[in-house]
Amino acid sequence: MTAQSTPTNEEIAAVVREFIARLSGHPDIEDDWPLISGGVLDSIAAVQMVDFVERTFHVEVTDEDLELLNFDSVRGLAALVTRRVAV
Amino acid sequence: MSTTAPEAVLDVLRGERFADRATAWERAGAVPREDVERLAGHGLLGMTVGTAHHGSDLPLVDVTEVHRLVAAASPSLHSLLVVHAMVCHALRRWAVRETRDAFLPELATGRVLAAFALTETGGGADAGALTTRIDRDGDTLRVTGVKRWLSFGQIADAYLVFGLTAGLDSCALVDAGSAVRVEPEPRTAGLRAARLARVTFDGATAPAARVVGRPGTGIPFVATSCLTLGRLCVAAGATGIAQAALDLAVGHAATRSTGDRVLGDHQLVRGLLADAALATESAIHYVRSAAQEVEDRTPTAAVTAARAKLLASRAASGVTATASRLLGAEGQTENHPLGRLVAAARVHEVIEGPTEVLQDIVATALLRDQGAAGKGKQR
Repeated sequence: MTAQSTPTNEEIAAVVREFIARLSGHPDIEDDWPLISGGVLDSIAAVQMVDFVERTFHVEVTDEDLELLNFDSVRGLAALVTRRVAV
Repeated sequence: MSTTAPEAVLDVLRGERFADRATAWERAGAVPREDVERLAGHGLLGMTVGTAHHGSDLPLVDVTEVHRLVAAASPSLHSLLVVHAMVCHALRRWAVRETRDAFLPELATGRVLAAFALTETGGGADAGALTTRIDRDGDTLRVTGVKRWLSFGQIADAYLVFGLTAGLDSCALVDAGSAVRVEPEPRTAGLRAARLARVTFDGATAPAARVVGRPGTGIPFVATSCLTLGRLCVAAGATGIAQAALDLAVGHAATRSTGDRVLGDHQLVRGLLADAALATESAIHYVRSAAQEVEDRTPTAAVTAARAKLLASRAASGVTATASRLLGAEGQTENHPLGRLVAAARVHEVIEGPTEVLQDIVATALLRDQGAAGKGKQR
């Protein structure tokens, strides 16, 4: 992924999936696993995940994005970032 | 009220008048509101608030330097700075614009003092253990529950409360008022003047716009990001305590005669001083680099802040213990500055996560990075 080209949803999901796999210790993470509500990530890891997404994709997560659904799965996160990088 | 350059804040803190006042607070067991407001006039409460909201928006490296100086003089006032910074952070990052615009200027200038209401009798930062309720009723939030050990809870005008909304962890800013009952907690050694309070919310109401974050993100995002900043600030405070104890120890070793030699001529004493100095200095350096990480929001920042707090609070414990032995009976006397530092160091190993909780956070990250974390390790 480069700063010049807008990444696709699949590319974003792949990067997020890899990071969360490492963060959670679950290499076989699936895109619809409930990361926060299901306890896959502890709260420190949840904040790390937000910081990672912001830095990697140059987006800012604001209070309006804070619906749990946006963060509770690889799919939700990838969708959020996809919407944001398209703006 | 104007924004203030860090130098001006540092000048105030380095002045003798501040040290005398701090000593008076700790002896009296309370930092008076007037003194807090006077210091707020020098910009002490607005360091982490943006300039658009009348703060000075200092880099965190500079903020930690201020925290270091404040904690060395008054661990109690320092605890106000810590909770205030945490509340400002929560609003700045996670509150809706209306609440940010209404409260951040008031917090930055000290017209409103805020307390961080997370801890309950049955637990701290554990969403599963929260019993406080933040019920939503149309456009109104209704808060019911009891919060414990709130720094400056006795004189706070607003409380950042964590609780459950329809079973999900949530957070809201609630004003002090008739449905909020405030009782002093017993004075705590090391934080004697921190105005600790037990606060009962008895159906206290707030407009819906005062919700901070969304239900389900109150602990993992709001509280945890606040605690990251809080741990960094506590770490900075601990380095101030360590430095103050080191200064006392070196001063004593250089001047105290035993027979025909000064204490500092003894090899064992020199070893203690060298170790204490390196423990202090390495903690100061680590806190500085951690501050940069938190500022940059690196993905490792939350763990680094936990590491900084672990390192610095233990340095403070170790160095104050060393100073305590070197100063002998003199250092144990009532009202000796060292006694305050020893007690403060002990408190710093407890607040914003005790040593063992932080060790767990640090080790969890290490093991996770190795892909070796057990799957049972889920909180």
